[in-house]
Amino acid sequence: MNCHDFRERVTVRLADGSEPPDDHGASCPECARYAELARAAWEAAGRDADEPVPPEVAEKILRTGRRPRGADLTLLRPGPLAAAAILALGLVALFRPSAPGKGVGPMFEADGMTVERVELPAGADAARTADEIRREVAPEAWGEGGCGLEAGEGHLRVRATAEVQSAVREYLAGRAKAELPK
Amino acid sequence: MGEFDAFFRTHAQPVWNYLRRLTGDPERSADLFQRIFLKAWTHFEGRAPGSERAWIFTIAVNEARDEMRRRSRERVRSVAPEDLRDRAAVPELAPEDRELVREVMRGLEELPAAQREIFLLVRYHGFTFAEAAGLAGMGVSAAKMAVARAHERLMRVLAGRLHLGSLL
Repeated sequence: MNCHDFRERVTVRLADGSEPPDDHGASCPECARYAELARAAWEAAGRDADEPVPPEVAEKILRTGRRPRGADLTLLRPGPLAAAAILALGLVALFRPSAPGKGVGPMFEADGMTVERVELPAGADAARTADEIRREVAPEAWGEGGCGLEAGEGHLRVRATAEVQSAVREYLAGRAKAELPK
Repeated sequence: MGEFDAFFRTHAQPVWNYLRRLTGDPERSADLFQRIFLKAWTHFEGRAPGSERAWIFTIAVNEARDEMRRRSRERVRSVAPEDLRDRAAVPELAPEDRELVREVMRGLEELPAAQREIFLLVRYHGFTFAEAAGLAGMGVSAAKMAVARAHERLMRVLAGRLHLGSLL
């Protein structure tokens, strides 16, 4: 083995713990020093301290992980499906408004989310409002987070957990308040 | 404790360490970390039992690359001095050693993203060259070369510090 080959393989040997096929380092002081330097750099990098995951970040993910998944296929088995259908019919009957009103009450879905229709103030741009909500209110919840938002004519349809529904309502209330003429 | 909880508790810390060293930025790391585990949660049923570690790191590597692409090839910003101070503060190290670690880590921050990515997987997370190459979607020889170049960069930092530049 020559100096070039020896140096080329230093990193791989440090990474996988293998030994050189011959003892080139013993007969070449320059390469021995090179190998020392390589080892020192490898070890110095390994001494960089780890830092813990911020608790608030971990908690947020664990909360999401405890929610039922929208795409959980166990719900599509005949038993749960029939139970969900009966439950859904019962809930529709329970929450159906008795007379036509300003909005539609919450519809509960099998994964624990509700679908709510939210009326917007006259002249509000529903698509723009929906974009703002996706950006400002629990951004991680939309899309892959399982929640959904649909802009209609003067209203939004929000499919979300109770927590997110309430955050959306608060956001819209705050926005309406801020837009009031002073 | 649910399956996802257990999975998260096992893999959260290594993934977090990877992102912190890769981006050098706590906010970007937190954002990426959430995306990664949200994706893992969404596709949790599709994971291959027994290879969860490789699975979550594949997601991490891809998400981090996507984010870097979104930033239009912007170079990862240098770590703020106070951030380096926190990260290098290993209590059992002598002050001069801490300074050395800090300098070596600064060298790591300056590596091209692809080299840094593969170096982190091999050096800090114990992946073999073949495993890391698989995660990063490159050949084993290319992975070995990337790690060697990254290592060489750190050696230069160290050689400069120890006045051994003639060795390289």
